[in-house]
Amino acid sequence: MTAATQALSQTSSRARGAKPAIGPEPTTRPFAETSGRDGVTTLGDDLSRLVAGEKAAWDGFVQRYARVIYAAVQRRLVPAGRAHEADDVAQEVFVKLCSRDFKLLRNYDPGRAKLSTWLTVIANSTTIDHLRRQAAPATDIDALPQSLLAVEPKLPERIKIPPELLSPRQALVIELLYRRELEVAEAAEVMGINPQTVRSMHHKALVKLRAHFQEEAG
Amino acid sequence: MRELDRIDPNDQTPWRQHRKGAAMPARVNLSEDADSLRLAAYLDGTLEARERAELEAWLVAHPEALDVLLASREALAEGAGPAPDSLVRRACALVPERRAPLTRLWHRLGDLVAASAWRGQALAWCGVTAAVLLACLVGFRLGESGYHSAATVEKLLAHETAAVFGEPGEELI
Repeated sequence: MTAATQALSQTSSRARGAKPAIGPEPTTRPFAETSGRDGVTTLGDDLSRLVAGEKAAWDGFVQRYARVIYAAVQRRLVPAGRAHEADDVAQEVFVKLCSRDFKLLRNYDPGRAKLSTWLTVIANSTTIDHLRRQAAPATDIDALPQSLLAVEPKLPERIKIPPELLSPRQALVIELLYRRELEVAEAAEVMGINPQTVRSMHHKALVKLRAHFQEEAG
Repeated sequence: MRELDRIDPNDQTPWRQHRKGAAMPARVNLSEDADSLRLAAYLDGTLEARERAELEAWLVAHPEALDVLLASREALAEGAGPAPDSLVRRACALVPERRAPLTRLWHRLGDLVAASAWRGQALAWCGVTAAVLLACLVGFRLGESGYHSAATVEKLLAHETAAVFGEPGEELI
């Protein structure tokens, strides 16, 4: 039995006092239709049976989490105009999960992250790879909306920040606020910190950047 | 905060949509075993301070991973509707029913024969081989018993001859 499998059977809850999940956990018990042992079934037990190749556990897992995977895939494909591929990409995620004797699922650790969160991450990376692999089909230029044919506004050139100038957190704040165009509250939510802390880090980062570029300009 | 707002407020929407949706995303070089779990742990807030700092530094250097993180966060915040039945059926079919070892072997043999295009030919060859082996066995047994029978008859004949005519070399009266 691998360490990961042992971990699966040991715990089903967050081991390190996690804050509540961003997304809603499904309301019914995971793999409920295959539960046993005095009516108490842990996620770890369910996953142990799943990675052992038990068909009922796999079916329960699919029925339980297909919607999570499908939603993540579809959300990414719709803006690209490829919503019709959602079924196939979601199936690709399931293939990935059960291939090589459930290797991916064996390495999942319930003590580190919720299963729904982890599956959402897997679904998103699979979808991005899918979009990358299969170039968008050519569209007749007459069929494109006028707005898409507009000339792209000239974006400011991206400045080069020396890697050691900012702390990782300050760099991430700058990345989220400027490159990803998030609001302070959104960036704070992503990083799991107070918005005031984001503002403070943003300010400190700007002070450092200002000093650096002033010095560079002589 | 928004650079596009300052450039041209009227043109930002289509371009933002275009950049988010239609633009070709960078390839995700996530190690699915480790990195995806770290990203999920980051989203769930279960990383320790040191791990968080390491991951944040890594995210700044890997924008494709940051893409996955932000998209996952939004997907989780939105929640999920029902998945199509067809997807559930296809995904369930990925893992077959487990069978007992003997049954499994039997089914495997059956599947092999059933799946082969030369099923009829194979069966015919099996029949011919079995018939030839059977013929050889029967012939051998018949020949063996025939040899023993001939030897017995010869012995009996010699015995009777000796009784009537005496042993070879004995004078007849």
